[in-house]
Amino acid sequence: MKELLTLTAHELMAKFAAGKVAPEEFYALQMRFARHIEPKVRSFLKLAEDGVSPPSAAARDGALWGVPVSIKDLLTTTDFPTTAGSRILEGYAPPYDATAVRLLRDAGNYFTGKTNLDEFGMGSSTENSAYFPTHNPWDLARVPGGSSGGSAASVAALQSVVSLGTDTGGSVRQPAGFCGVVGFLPTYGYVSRNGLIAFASSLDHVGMLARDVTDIALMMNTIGRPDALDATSQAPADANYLAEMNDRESVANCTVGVINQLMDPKLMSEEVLVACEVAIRVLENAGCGVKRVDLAGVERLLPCYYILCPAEASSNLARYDGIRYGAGFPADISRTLQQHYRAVRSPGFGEEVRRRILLGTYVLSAGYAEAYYNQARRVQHAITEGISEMFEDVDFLFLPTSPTTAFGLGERIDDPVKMYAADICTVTANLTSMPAISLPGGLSAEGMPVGIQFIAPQKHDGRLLALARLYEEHAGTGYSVPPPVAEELAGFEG
Amino acid sequence: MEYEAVIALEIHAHLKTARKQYCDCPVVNTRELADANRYVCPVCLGHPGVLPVLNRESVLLAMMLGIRLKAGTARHSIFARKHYFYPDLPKGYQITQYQTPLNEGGELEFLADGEMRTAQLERAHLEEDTAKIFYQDDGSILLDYNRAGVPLLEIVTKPVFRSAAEAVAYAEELRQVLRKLGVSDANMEEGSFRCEPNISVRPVGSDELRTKCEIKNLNSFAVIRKALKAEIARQIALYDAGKEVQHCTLRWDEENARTVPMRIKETQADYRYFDEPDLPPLVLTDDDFAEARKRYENAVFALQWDGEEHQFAPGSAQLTRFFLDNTDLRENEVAVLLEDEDALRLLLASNEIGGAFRECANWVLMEYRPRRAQAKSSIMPQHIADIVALRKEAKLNSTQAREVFELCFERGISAAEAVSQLGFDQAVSESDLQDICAQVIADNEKIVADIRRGKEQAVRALLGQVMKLTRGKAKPDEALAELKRQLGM
Repeated sequence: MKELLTLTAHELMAKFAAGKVAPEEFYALQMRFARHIEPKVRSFLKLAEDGVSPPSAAARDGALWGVPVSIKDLLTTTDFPTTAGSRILEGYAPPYDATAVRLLRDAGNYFTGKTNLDEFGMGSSTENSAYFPTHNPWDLARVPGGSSGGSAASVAALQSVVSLGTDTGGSVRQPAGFCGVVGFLPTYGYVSRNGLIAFASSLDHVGMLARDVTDIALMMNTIGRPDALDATSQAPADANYLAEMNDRESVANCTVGVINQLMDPKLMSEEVLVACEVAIRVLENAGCGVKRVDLAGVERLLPCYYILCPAEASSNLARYDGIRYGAGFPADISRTLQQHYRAVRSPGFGEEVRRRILLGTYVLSAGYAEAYYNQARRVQHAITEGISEMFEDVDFLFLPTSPTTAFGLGERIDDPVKMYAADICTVTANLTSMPAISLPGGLSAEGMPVGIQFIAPQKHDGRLLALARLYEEHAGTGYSVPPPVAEELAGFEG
Repeated sequence: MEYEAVIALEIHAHLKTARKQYCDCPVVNTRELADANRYVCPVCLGHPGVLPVLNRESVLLAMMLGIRLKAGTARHSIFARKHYFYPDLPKGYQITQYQTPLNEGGELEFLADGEMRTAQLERAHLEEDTAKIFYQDDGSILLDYNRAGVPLLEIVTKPVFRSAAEAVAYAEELRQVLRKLGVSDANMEEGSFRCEPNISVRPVGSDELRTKCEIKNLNSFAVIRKALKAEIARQIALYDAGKEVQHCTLRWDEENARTVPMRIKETQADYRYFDEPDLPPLVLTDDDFAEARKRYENAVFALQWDGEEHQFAPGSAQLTRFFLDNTDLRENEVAVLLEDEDALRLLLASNEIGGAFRECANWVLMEYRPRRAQAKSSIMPQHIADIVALRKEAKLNSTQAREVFELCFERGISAAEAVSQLGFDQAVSESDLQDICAQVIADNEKIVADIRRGKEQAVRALLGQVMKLTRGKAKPDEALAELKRQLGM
């Protein structure tokens, strides 16, 4: 039975439909293995406990059903505490479910638990979790990436079939690349942000991780819905991502633009470039046109992102004052208000979060906003225009997911600028509200996964999935069980 | 040196919507601590992960005011976050409109010292209220988030007022406008209409704008007037003493009748405004404008006068002017009628039937309003017109007319029926009159003695008795003649 653990969601759903295994039976197995391997990987801040009642919904065509899903702990859940990986929300029990969580539950899926993350999504390694770091299932001495590191690790380590993540500057795609799974960032507004604990609202997306593209389409069919609770929601009401993914016509003879500046050996490691060149040949073999294109202002991507995103973060994190919930609640009235704020916020936030609140406060301050924040908004606008122009010549953009494969735990934690550099390939999609996907692009010489990435114009999510599926079919570099996980699985009683 | 005041008013009015500005919580103005925090949800408590969704009803109400003030209403406006830390601000920022207010400019006519003046407006924009604070004796505070997220319209004038009286007259007019439009309850005691003046003074004739001070927490028009006067005097005294006015926020110290600083304002509070990413730009369609216009038209006050229809923009200044110019109502009477639309409608309809505006006004002001405060009214305009006519034709005396009015008021029957039920239409027969006069003479020996001693006017007292016994039905001249006949005068 334990061989079922390596199946994708759609393969599992076929087994459910054929009566080979019941969803609750599989869920029980899933939880047993999740617990079994958890001490090695540490994907979860909170694993589901025994006795979860089976969801009542019936299978619906084209939607995810009966499948165990892990949820990044930046999305609110009523059946698990939600911490955002922060001390300031330790023990916080949300009074409502995030829309994406509710849709998954209503469709009849199981939750395996809440996955670890960089505090409030701020980081690229999951080492900024206030609780503990997560280990890369491919090499336990390396980071899983971040901030959705727990989500990526849980899918790679067979602790969950799919996972719900969030992506503000690469937080789904980069860990997906580091852990050898698929990570999808939908167009801004295609999945409701209601219940996504805000980090940088205009750049935050709910994203998803899975072991193949079909599972992503199934998840999109389940959660990619309009939501009256999110004023920026713009999802089409009746999209069928599975059908769009299977529509080969939509990508026949398409042209993929390869961004020269992000294939630069000065920025990218050799193993990543090698994998990218292989991926480009796969695309050509699949019938895609490949065109080398230039993106002006690549050097401005990270400064622009690292101004806008702390600015919004400083605003979004102002609410954590311990007055209504979270650490510091109920307030100790022997303190003055200033003392209370200090007592709650200083120890409540980790170093990276404090750094970004300070940065963000600074760039929004009178006298500096023009030079930093407003300027960054203009740069963002120019980048969006530049990319949109590129989409007049090509249908998709190709680029690596990350400049390197997963780095070692502790390797970059003391060098924030080096850590930020890991985001150079992923921030573009967030800055331009465009959909993007990271796919496994084979293994490096050291046996670590390399991610490759596609970006599509806004609202071309279905077509992007069609290209991803085309690539997946031709590449043959899809998900494989990481050796340390295979070892655990071998020793697992089932 | 002679100084003049330069005053601008910032008024925060609660918009009269069923739901809060950015969530679905009902708007309920609770007063007691026991009712605190009943009307709250994750959104208005600023829980993690929640998003604001704009209440379009508040937009329509604000647009109605925009039409009334002849303001420019933006077809495309954006919301911004205004940041500061305070326990009553759940998110650490207020969602407001900063660079693009919904309504820009505009003007409002108001009456001051019986003269029509016009105040120029700066802007009127949408925002949300904060939680209410209950200060405790031990120095702690309790927070009631029922009010957090209630839709607010901030209405700001240019620095156009030159006296406390003028500023207050404008504020009173604006309050009337909001009420008549149905846009706000505009109740100062309940905090749904809050007025924060900015004041500076300057030498008369100058057009400079000197350092201004802001006064907060003024909860009645009387207090605003007193505080403004005191603050004007304080600033003039400072300049006269060769000192400078410091930019600050003040509050009114009622006990000592003076303004006192709350805190010294930094050069400019740094609110770190930026565009609210959670709300898309507010785009108004032609349908929105049509809907606001329709609702506005419904609030326009129309009256028939001399067979012509007159229309008045919601508010009181124009109507007051009309009544003062066209009737002999006094200003305080007009004020009463404008606050009491039922009474005003009754008066106008009664007048429309039979004229005699002043008499109709007396019935409405002196009989209808006090009675209606005690009981349900069944009176119709026709009743008042008829009673006024009966009085004019001397078919009823004043006492009888009041009895008729009372019956009409209580039972809704016609004046004629009331007259008949009360028997006021039956004349007193000659023999009855003789008997009654005889009885009155017999019962009032002392008065009769006075008359006999030559105090002839005392016969009036006897006449009063006769009228009372006949319940006013006797004709006074006939009764007097009969009394004189029996007394041999």
